[in-house]
Amino acid sequence: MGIPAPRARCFRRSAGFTLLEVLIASMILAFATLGLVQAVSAAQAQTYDALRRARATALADALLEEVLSKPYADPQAETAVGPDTGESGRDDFDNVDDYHGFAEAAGALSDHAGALYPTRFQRFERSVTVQPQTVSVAGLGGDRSGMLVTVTVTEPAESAGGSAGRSWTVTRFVPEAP
Amino acid sequence: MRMVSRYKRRRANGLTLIELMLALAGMSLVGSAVASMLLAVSYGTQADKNLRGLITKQMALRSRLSAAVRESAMVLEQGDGYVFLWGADADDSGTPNLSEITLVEFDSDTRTLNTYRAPATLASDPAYDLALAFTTQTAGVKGSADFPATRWASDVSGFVVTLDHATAQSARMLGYRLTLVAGDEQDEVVGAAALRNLEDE
Repeated sequence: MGIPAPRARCFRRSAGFTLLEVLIASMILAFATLGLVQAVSAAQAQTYDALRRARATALADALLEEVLSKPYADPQAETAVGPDTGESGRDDFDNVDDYHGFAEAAGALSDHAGALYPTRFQRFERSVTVQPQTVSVAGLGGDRSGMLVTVTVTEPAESAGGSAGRSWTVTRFVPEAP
Repeated sequence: MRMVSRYKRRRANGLTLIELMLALAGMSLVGSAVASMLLAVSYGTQADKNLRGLITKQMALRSRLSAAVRESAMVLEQGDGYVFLWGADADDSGTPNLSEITLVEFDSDTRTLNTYRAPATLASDPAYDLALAFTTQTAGVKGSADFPATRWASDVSGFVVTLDHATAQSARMLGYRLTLVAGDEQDEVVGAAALRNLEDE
């Protein structure tokens, strides 16, 4: 007389896990770990992206602020948009439209005093366009002429971690004094 | 038959020392792997939180500093980790009074960025000489009820101000650089603002 059938099954089950069971458990554990790691790294990637965006915006705002600190009209009454005769660099610019075409390459970004920005900011490029424009503002009684200042900060593709380069733009309309 | 059955049941109910050791070794391996993974996730989450805090602080500070500069008419004095701003000559006296000035200063001992401004009502509103050092002239009231400090940021490790003119009182543009720390993370804030509260020229 042998062991009754239910007890034999009980002993067989308590002997351990089958290979299939172990493989399934391992796969579940691996997927759970992968999901957790991906969630954390995705969150970190988004945060670093926000940090880059904050830096780019700070650079754009600083340059726009510099442009807007200049007078609207040229002191020498030059009317052409862009640097005037004898204005070879940023230090020579004396009104808003002189900044048209101004550009800084990555690695050479500096503030209004000429001091280079910290290394973390040197991955970007900056450029300015200034265009005469007339806008219609109903509340101000019709058309107003002025200049549209656009500052663009670009992150080259190679410094964006292999992803396509991106750019951030800030614009401001500067009306001509009536 | 009964003896065999009892023997088999005893084997089935217990583990040998070798089995126990192997099971413990396996469990400790899995446990240490899980623990190190949780530690890494925890570190990553904390770093992420620090970085987010840093970004928020950067934006708030840029906004505050730029607003303070824009609502000013003149940079009275600038030095290592501080800047004195003259809001406006409210009483048309031609000289700055205590109620008209703002001091933004980095305190390296407490690693904080503070601003000093007079309250709406003052016991006395002394006038200061434009030609003398403001650090010396305001030393007596700095931190008192007439010129109290307000903390703008903690965990600051540097504050540098740059001007567009060698003479502070002739400057029209002010740039700033702040170094902020959050846990193991460190980042710089850069910004610039023009003095906008100028008298009509």
